[in-house]
Amino acid sequence: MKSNKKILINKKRFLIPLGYFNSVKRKLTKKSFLKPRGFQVPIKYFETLDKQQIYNRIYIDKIKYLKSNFYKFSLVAAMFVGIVYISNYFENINNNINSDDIINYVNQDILILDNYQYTEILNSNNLNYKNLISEADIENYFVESSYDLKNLIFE
Amino acid sequence: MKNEFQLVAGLKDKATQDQAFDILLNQYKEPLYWHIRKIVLNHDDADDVLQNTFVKIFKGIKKFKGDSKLYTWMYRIATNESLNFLKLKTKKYFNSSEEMMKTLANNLKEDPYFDGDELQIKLQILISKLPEKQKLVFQMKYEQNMKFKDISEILGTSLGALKASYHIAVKKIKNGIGKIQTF
Repeated sequence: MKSNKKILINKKRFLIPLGYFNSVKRKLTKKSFLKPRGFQVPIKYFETLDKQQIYNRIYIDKIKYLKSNFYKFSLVAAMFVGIVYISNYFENINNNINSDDIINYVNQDILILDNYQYTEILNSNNLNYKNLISEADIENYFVESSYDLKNLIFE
Repeated sequence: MKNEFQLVAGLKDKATQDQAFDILLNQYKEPLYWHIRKIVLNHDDADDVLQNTFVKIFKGIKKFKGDSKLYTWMYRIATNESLNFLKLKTKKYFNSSEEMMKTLANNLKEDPYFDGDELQIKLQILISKLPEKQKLVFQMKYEQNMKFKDISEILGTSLGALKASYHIAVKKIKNGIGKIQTF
C-alpha cells in the first residue's frame, strides 16, 4: 500500500549561512576541475613556482640559442668579412695602377711591348695620354727635329 | 587588472609586464599544471612542460590578438607543448607512442607523487591506450568538465568530431572498466 503521509521537516530548526550551498558547490567544482584523483605534487610546489623561475628559463634559453648558433653566426660573419676584404682588395688593385706606373714599368724594360701594344695602350680610355703629351709638345718636336711631312707619313 | 582584457594589455606593455605576468602566473599555474600532468602523467615532466609553456606565453603574448579567450589560447600552448614533449620522449627512449604511454601509466605504481588506488591506475592505463585526440577530449571533458566549445578552440577540431570522439572514448573506458570489474 502506498503511503500518502508527508514527512514533516522543520526547516526552521537548522540554519545555514547565507549562500552556503553556492560556495560549497563552487569549492567542490573548482577542486574537481583542477586536481585529478590520485595525483600529488611536492609540498609547496605551487608556492615555489614563481615568475623568477620563468625569467631564468628565458635567459637560459637565450644563452642556449646563442651557443647553438654561435658557429652559424661566426661563419656568416667570416663570410661577410671575407667578401668585404676581397672586394676592397680588387678595388685597390684597380685604383692603384695609374698611367705613371705603367710608363715606369715599361721604361724599366721589364715589359717589352711592340708597336701594336703601345697603340692599344694609347688608344685605351684609361690612359689619359693627352695630358702627358700636349699638342704644343708635338709641334715643338716637329720644329726641333728635321722631320718633314713625307718622312713622318713614311714612319 | 580586473579582467582578461586588462591583463593582456598589461602583459603587452613593458611598464606593467612584470606585474601582469605575476598575476597571470598565479592565476593559471595550477589549472595549467593539472592539464599538463594529465597528459604527461609524471610530475617532473609536467613541471618542465609547465615552465616551457609559460616561457612560450610570455614570448608570444605580443602575437595574441584576442580572437579567442586568453585561457583557451594558453591551454592550446600547454597542450601542444605536452604533445611535443611526449613526441620527443618517444623518439629518444621508445619505439612507439603506445609503448611509451603504456610504460608511463605502469610507472604510476612506483611514482612518489601518485597515491591512487589500483582502479585509478587501471583507469590511467585505459586512458593511455586511447588515440591522442580521444584521450585529450576525454581528459578535458570528463575530468576537467570543460565546455565542448572551449575544447574545440583548444584542439582546433570541429564540435561534431569532438563529440563523436568523446563518446567513443567514454564507451571504450566503460568497456575497459567493466572488464576489470568482472575479473
